[in-house]
Amino acid sequence: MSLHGEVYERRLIWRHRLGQCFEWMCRLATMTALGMLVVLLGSVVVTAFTPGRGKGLAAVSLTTTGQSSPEEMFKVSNIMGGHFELKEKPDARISEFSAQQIRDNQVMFNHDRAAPVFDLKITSPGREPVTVIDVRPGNMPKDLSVPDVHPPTPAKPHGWLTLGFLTSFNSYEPTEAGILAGLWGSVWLISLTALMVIPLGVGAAIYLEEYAKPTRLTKLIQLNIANLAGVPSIVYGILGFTVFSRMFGLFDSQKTVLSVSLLILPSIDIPLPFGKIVLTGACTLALLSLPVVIISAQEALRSVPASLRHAAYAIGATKWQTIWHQVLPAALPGILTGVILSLSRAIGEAAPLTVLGIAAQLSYAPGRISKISDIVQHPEGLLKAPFDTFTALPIQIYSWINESSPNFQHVAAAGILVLLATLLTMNSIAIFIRQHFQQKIRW
Amino acid sequence: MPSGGSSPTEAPSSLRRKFSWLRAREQVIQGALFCCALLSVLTTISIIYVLITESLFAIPPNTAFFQEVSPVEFFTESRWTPQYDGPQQHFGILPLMGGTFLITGISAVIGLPMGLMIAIYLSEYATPRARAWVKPALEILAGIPTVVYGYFALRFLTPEVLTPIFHDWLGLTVLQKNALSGGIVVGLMIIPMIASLSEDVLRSVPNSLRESGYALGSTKFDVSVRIVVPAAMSGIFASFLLALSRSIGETMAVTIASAGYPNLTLNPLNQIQTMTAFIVDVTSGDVVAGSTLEKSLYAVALVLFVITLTMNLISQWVLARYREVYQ
Repeated sequence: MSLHGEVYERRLIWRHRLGQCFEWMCRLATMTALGMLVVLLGSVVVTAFTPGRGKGLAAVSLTTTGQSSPEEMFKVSNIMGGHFELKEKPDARISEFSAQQIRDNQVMFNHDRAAPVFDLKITSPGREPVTVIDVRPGNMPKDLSVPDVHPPTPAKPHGWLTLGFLTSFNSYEPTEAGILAGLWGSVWLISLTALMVIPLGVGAAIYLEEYAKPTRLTKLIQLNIANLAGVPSIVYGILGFTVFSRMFGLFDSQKTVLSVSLLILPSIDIPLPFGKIVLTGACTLALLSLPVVIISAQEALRSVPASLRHAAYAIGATKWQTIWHQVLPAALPGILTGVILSLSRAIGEAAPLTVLGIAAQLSYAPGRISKISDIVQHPEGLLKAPFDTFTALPIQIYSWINESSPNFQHVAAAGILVLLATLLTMNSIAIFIRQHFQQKIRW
Repeated sequence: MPSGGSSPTEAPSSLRRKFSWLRAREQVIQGALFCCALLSVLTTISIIYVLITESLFAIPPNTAFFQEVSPVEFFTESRWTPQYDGPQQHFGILPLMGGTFLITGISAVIGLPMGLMIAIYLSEYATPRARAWVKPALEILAGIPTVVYGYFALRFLTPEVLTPIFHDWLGLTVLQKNALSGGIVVGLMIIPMIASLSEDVLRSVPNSLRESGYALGSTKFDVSVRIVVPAAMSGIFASFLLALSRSIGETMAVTIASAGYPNLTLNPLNQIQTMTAFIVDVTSGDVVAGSTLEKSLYAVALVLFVITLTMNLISQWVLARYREVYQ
């Protein structure tokens, strides 16, 4: 049976409409995904550059009208929205003060969010104590007046991503918090990871691509690598925790310290089991990123044409000479791109590090090197750093996200910007290498 | 494994294998490279060893998790309260699995169709210019650390999007940590993965199939949906499996956005606990070495490992079969 004329035309129009509809839905899906990316980045940037709520200091005019005597004492409890402090000693929280102190404008109310709410107990000599529960601006006994709450000053008028944020350690005060420990920690972590993962990963890739014959063992290794790439990162965390951090409990929980001294170098203390040191984290991250590095290095090696190898063999080079002098240089841009991309993944990994129990906030950098000039002053720090405890960027961010004080939200956003900037730098290096060498090498 | 040619007949004496430093170096290097390759096998073995000795069978002085808690209780009990002591302590993994599958379900509802549609768009509709924009943007989406997704869910999605919709409009209770926000961001996270893997398989469908479709009078829609997608179905399925296994293993985003107490619920506005979030929760405090609580970490990790490994293996098997079709 065939369709003719009008019916056919109508159905054709309908089919085309359906097609257009579908195309637009596909476009919409793409735009939604990209839109979410924009919203995600936008929300982080906006939060990082929002001033935040700073201290609001208000003089307290808490007075009972009428027969208030200088000996009258106020005791506050259950304060929400701030705390009382003495003008002379800021940040020393007080809960008791006298009418005299108030009259002298000595008592201040320091708040960082909204109007204060508190319970008040007034005791004056020779009278029954009066207790007022839930004192707040709208709910006042008629002979009392509470502090006028002025809007707090912005905590950081120029945003949270400041030079101070990059160059100071963390603090309990959001405005003082800095990311220095995490930055150095991540630098050490990723350098050590790279030191381990590049030779191991590239070596494995060379073996699999250049040497291995298609035996069962090779197939097994290949399958195994593909599967390792899909193992959740937290499982690597458990592995690192047991093997590197605890070392199967072979050593006492009382830390054994292995002192190593090499010739002229100063002696280094290596804790056994490793515990929460940089090396533990680096070993774990190296195992985590190894499969990805192997796979990408294999692809790079595969793209080197066989003619290059044959030419080298033809002039009498051995296998390793061919690989080292011809194949590796040709595949290097591809390998480097893959390595940098997988390391930039590793920098952002928080899950395995939390399982290792890495400290969330520290006030020192590994090896006590927190400035470039520190390397000159005590160069032995460079050797000590891999065996020092540390924190890393994503871990610091995670701990800030969990803070209850709202200002830490801005700190977390600033931290995220630093992390993203690091990733962006690494990725652009990878892209640069790719572009730069692709133009040079033509087969 | 010695390499190099061995001659079938008696070789002249000058070509016979004699010891030379050059050849010895070649052998040593090959051996070293083989060890590098073997390291990955060693990693797998040690993962399995660590997980099994702590959860299934222990070396005698120690006891394994399943020697202290019966597997029947582990898989059927609906309470997960390992932090308590005595009779209050229950090890039933169902709430954790429920939480994990709730997150995975939500992420699948969001991620799978969107990822597939982006893949179809990229391989069938997009102009080269559009592709040049969309592909790097998807790579950025894939490269964002998971803590950032968690932050986005907790500090933006829940207070600015979900609470206005579900609480202010519909009058439902939205907790600060809820499964929905975590599921959404995990869905967002797996989109790039599905899109790029599926796009690869869609593009590898030979053009002759598309052209024969057009020759029969199909519209572009018919060709993409009725010819190309079915032809690439197994590859798409494999990418779905890989993506779902990733969202089962996803940790930080879920811990930050959704994780509270273990809760066997289907309400996406409630807080839940996933297997991964439980591991983070326990390890971020101090665990007593050798306690049942500590061993339960390994048991949970083993379950997680087995689930994700099975899914990865199936997806690889599907992909390997599929590759043979058009070659």
